[in-house]
Amino acid sequence: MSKRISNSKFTSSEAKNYIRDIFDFEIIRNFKHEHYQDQSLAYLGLPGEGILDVLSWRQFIGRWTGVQVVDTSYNAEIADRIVQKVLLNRMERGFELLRDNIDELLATEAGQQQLKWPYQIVNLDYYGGLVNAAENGNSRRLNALRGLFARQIDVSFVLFLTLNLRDRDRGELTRLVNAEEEELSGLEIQGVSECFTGHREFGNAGELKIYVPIFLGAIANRHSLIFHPPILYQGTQQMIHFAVRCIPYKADSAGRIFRTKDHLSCLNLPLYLLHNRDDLRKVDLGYIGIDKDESLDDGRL
Amino acid sequence: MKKKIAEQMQLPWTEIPANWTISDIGAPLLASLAEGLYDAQEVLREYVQNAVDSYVDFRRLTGRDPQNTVQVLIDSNGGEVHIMDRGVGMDQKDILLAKSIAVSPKLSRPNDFVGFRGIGIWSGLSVCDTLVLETTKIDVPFLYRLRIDFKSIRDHIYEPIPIDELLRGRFEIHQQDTNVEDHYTHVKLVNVRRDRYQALLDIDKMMHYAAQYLPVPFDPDWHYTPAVKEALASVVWTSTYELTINGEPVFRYFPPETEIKKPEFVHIKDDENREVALAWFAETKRTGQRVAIKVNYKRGEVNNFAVRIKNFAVGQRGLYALPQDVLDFDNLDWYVGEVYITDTDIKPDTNRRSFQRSFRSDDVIRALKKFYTTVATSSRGWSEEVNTLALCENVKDAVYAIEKLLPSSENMSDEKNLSSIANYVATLEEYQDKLKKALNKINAVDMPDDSPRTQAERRYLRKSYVKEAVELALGKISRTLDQLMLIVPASILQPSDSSKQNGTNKRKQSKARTARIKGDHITANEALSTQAIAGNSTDINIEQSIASSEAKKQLTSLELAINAFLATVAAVVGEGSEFYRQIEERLPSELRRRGLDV
Repeated sequence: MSKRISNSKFTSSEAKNYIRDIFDFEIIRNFKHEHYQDQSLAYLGLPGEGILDVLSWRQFIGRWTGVQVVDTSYNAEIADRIVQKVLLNRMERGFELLRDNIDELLATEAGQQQLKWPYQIVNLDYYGGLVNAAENGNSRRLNALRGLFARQIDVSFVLFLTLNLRDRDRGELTRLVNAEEEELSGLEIQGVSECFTGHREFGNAGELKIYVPIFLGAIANRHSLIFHPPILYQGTQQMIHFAVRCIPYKADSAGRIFRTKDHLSCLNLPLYLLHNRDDLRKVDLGYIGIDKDESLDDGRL
Repeated sequence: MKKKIAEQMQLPWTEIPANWTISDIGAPLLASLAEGLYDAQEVLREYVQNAVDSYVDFRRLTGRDPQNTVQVLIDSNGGEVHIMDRGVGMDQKDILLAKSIAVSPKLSRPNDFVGFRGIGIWSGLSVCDTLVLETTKIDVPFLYRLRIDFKSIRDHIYEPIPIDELLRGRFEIHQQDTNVEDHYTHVKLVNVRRDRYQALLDIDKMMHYAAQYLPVPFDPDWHYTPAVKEALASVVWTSTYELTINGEPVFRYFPPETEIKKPEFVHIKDDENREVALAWFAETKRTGQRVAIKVNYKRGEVNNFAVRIKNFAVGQRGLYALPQDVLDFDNLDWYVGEVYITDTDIKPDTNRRSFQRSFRSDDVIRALKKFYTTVATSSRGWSEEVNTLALCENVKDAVYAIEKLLPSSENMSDEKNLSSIANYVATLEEYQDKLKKALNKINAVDMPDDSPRTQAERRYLRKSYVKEAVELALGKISRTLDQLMLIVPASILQPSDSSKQNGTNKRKQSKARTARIKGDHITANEALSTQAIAGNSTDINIEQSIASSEAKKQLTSLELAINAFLATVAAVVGEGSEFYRQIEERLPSELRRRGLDV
């Protein structure tokens, strides 16, 4: 018989709690009020062993699918803890836990069939980065996002995307940001260079702030996307958090065209820096083309 | 001399020191647990029993009322079943004891707990590959985890090795820090064997099972829940537990008040008049159907009787009700109810499918069968009541129909009318016979050896409103027939062969009658047409002639009895006495008042 005192690697930071309980909560509340007033929402996400997001948003959630990869005994233990937490908090109504990789579930046909579509809240609280390339050069994570939008064509949903800044990409991120700068520079609009410099000062966070809206805008052409300013915070590591409201685009059956103006409105969004509950800062990373006074706090594509 | 030699020759015995150890018990002894002692549902019940006992201990230890919640989470895709309670939980000593087999503090106090065999967590041995039990006790700052590798144990269970060798290395216990206020037990069955125990992963099946067998609350929307709960409040071991399966609360569902009458409560006693159980039961409002109570099975409604020990149902519904033992056995389906065994000597057998044989078990089973018979035969009474009242209603309809025909029948040339009247008269006479029989039952003298069926019929017919209806109907028939005698030629009033009912028509009539008593809507035309089709067959003639001959026999017997009665009175008080005169004078009118036209 062995004796072991376990301690969890993951502890939710104060900043993360603030984002979940204040920012995201409010976004969901407004989103539900706007689109699903008389109906509870379905959640898909990576709740972690504390299931803190689901607990925080439980008043909005009717059914939910938690996903936890069980590739190691540590992760398998987390899956067990999730179930325990679900029972202790009486959250088992409409609950299912899929012991799998969320990217596999979203990216593949077989995986998608395991999910109970549709979902109105999708919380991809990744531990890693976004563009972690696979050996063949494809990013499973990007494919997962493609799969998600493809399955939810007619569904209004809110997407939360939390990423680690230590992306193990093969330079794709930097290359894409450079290409974007080059393209915009050729349009004879002002402030491009300053804006990109301002973003680069935040390293990977700045690059992701440019990249994520461009990527989502490109793959989600059947949705109108409404971006909230991303939040850079210190969790277990440096993380960046995106919140996007995704509304089915009906105006044109061929889908939405991704316009330069859309790029600019996202680039012009500020970046929030969150250290703790009492230290939230808004950082303007430069403005391109349009009058500063006209800029909005959310970027619409 | 011979004896002395024998004593000298006897060889002495020398004792060899020996201990009885766990190694003396072979692994295959566990095989009975591994080879499906329980089916899928019973495994769930075993773990819920443990949860209930944990709440019993919580109350004993803290003096506080526990939460009484049991959460079941079935992960059908993942092949896992979780059972969690917020009972007292376990500390290190308890968790070490939990892994033992048939060793439990419950064994010494069988009346204090639901479980009493100490099999506990081992009931899942045949069901899943791994059992994980996580628990923390109130005021203890540790969470304990016991993990047993059931699959590996099963794989080696028939090896010729001692039981301790079989179990060695196939379980582990860990602990970690936890909140001192926490107290719960979480049992997890991992990799449930789909080949044999798929039902355990079927949420709907488990919901149905839990509703029928586990101590879950009565449906809060059921009309009679408050009344039944109140009646059970004084009975020990009737507590209920809020059990949820995948977050959905489970309730005991019964047919609605539109289907059943108000529940009755009975203390069931044995031959020595000692109480052995308390029962509540409600009778159907329906008649004329094979399964009288319409049950919404999908919703989980039930009929017949559940027998409960410590509020867990034992065996199938109608436990110990066998056709050879219970009169009108089929009629138990006309009822819904529960029997709570209060005799503490009665214990369920290991898999709770019947009673464990004991000193008292035969007595209690006999009392149970007697109760079933009383209830089942009561349905005869109910049937008798409904049919009699329907008959009275039919009399009204027939009389009304005749009254409508009478004005035109004054013209005796209208043969169609006369024929109709003749039919109605035949029908009325038939009703009269039947109602007289009912009145005879009402007025009969009860004898100790009357069958339960007879007793039940009389009990229902003697209800004041039934008796009154019968007397009114008979009076109405007499008056109508008397009136017809004056108006219609006697030849017309002779029943013709064609005025009898055939079987089909009779059934239709019975159906219409039942519909009326149930209160279903029926138009006047339908009622009249039911009457009009009465009688086209000869087979009923036979029935009627038998009935008529029986009636004559009864009449003869009655006349003899009356003569004997008067003779007795004359012998006692004297034929010339005023008392005798008054009896002789009043007797015919009293008899007529009771429908006996002697």
